[in-house]
Amino acid sequence: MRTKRALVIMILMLVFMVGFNGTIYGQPIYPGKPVQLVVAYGPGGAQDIFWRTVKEDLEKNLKGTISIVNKPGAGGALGSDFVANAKNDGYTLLGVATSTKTVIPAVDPKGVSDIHPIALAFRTPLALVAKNDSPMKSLKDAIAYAKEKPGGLTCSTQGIQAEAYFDLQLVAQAAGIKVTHVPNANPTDAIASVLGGHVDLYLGSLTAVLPLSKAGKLRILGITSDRKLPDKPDLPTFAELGFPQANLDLYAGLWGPKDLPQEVFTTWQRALKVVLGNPDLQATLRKSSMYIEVEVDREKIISLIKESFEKINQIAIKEGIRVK
Amino acid sequence: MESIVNLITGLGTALQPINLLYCFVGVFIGTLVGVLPGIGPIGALSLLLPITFHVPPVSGFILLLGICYGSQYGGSTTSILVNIPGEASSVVTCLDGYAMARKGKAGPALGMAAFASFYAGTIGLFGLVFLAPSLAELGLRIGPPEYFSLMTFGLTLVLYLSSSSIEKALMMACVGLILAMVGLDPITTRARFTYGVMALRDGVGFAQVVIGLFGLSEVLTTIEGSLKREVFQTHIKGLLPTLRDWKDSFLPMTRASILGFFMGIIPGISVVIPTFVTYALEKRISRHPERFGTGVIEGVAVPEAANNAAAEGTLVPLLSLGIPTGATNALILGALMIYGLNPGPLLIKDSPHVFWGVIASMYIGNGMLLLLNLPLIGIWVKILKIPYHILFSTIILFCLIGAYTINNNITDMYIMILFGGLGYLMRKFDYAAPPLILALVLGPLMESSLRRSIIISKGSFSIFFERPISALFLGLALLMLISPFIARKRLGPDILREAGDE
Repeated sequence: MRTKRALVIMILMLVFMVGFNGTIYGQPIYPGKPVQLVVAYGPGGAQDIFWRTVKEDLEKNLKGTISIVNKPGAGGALGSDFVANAKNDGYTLLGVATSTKTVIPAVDPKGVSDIHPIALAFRTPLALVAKNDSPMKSLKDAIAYAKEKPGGLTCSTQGIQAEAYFDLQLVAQAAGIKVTHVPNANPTDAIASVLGGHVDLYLGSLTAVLPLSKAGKLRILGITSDRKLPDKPDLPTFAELGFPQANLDLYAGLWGPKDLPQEVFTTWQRALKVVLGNPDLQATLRKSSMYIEVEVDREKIISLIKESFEKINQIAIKEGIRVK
Repeated sequence: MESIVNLITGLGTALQPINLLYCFVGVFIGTLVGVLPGIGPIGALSLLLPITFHVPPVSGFILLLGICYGSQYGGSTTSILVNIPGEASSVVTCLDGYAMARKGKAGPALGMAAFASFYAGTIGLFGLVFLAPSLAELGLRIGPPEYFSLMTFGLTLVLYLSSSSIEKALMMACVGLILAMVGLDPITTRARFTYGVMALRDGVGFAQVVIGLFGLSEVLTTIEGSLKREVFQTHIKGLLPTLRDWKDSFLPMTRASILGFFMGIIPGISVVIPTFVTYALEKRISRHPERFGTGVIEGVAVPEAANNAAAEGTLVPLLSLGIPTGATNALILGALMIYGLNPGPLLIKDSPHVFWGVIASMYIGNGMLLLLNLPLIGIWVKILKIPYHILFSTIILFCLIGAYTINNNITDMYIMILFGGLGYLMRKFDYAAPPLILALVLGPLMESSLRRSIIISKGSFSIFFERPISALFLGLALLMLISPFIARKRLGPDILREAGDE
């Protein structure tokens, strides 16, 4: 009986020794197990599509597995909170836009999560559109209309939790007009309202409106980009139209909880640079209006975020908007 | 005529063996995710999305769409067998489907659900082929004021969704509307009734409530021993609908298909609301409204026809304008962009072989679904013979998984459990769940469209009466409310009394 127990104990010890093999003979290579990439938005959105498109190439480069999990809710706050509270071993990372550090702190301080950028990956410009047969053929027309009929011009955005609203206010302030804001959290519905002539303008992601503008149903009056888009030079930027301050766009990337090991940073930054540098992939993503702009320099990311935050916060204070 | 020629060319694409395979894989996965409560098409679509990048766009598109309409087929199975809607669009199917299963007629109910889906799929497809471009523009004329009036009309239908008293139905509708207010205010983004819970900011999720109210509360009620086991076991009468069932269902499901298709075209309506509306309307015009809810075959055929037709209706704005209705279509739109297909008004012109190939494949897929689902009926019915302790533990497990996978969020599980308990009490005191659910579905859209309309009209309520379509819907709502007095249609207690007499 006693020998049997001793045997069992020895076998158990052996099993454990084999199990701890990795730690005994040096550090395991990151990523040694599947990385859970939490996308803080629902399936089908720009962020979700982006990560699913690049997932396979990233896996090859990292020689590991990535599993994408959507945790939508509260404008990205639920997913961000989840990652902020996850173990900081680099196996739970987050795909989210900079708005969590620019818009949210300004309008909803309670919704801020303790997440830290690893790299920013792509930008999507926002576009201001009108119905094609609307009398407003340009931004100038729209501003003239608003001056003629104060409050008569209606424009939809996704609401105060996204950049578009602030771009709209930046243009309105600079032009000295008052626009009646019609918030609509559902971009599809908002676009349908413009197409049906119920609302004059819509300001939102270029991805959703581009096909309709190509087909001649919507007219793009301006986009939020500092430079002309290389593949769509015919689209006027707000900067060209005299509103350089209205340049808040969607800039999304990879984030993690605080105090990640340095190895996680270097591994992912290198992988993203290599994978997203592929011109074919860039061309594919450009079709969905996602423009690769990899930024891994921490200082630069922070100053970029700070600049946008201050711009947004100023409007938030002036307009008295805050999630209560 | 041109459409027919195009459709035949499309059939050539769709009938290529590889595309047939993708179509089959799509509808098969669709059926599976449809059957499993909570695990919806969105999850399956996003998982399979990267795989479709490696195949020709038309094949990928066929696969993804197959999952979508396949899930509409499968959603009814658990509704009928265990009173848990597999998909949100199968909530209404529970009412008569489960009642039929309790009478031992699960087979005919499942069979009719499959046939009605196929039938509606066919009607919807013809609508799609011949009317798509012209109808898309029509759907756009529904703006915020029209939405509000349409929702008001929808809300009057709660009167027809309860088999007990009208007062209780109205109370439940009010509870539903109050629940619909939870979350961030759609205009001012003020938090309402969230009590600091982050997950409540987006409101009380409809799917969680449904799984709790139907699935979990069903288990709780049955454990109490109110249901006799023998009912299920002894009389499983036939597996297919009888000629009489066909006669009873044919006209209602034709109406439901047409109405469902047209409602699906309106961006923002999606597939859930049409099932409620068509069911309530059929009950309204039926010669025996008192029997709805007690297990009539039309009660299964109508919502199943409506959700399939509506699912195809939603493809009208998607394919002809690039405007997706609901998350599933949004995902497909995203996929099309990655394929480089330029979804939107130009899709038909730029890639006719894709457009018509996909349309033709949907027809083939519908046939496959019918062939796939009919033999499965025999297997599904056997589920009812599983011992209760195993069946119920499994149901509770699926309720929990289903609630969690909606947003991968634990709070949704708590909400589901809470509504399971509430649903149990509601059954005890004879309060019907459907009015609550309808109000919860209509509420957010009704509120935001009301407030958007008022913003657009600068505070004037006349906007609802000045616009013809809006005025029409409001008129219909009024008619719906006063017609019982004029026609002396029997409602509420009278229905109950008559049902008791039978």
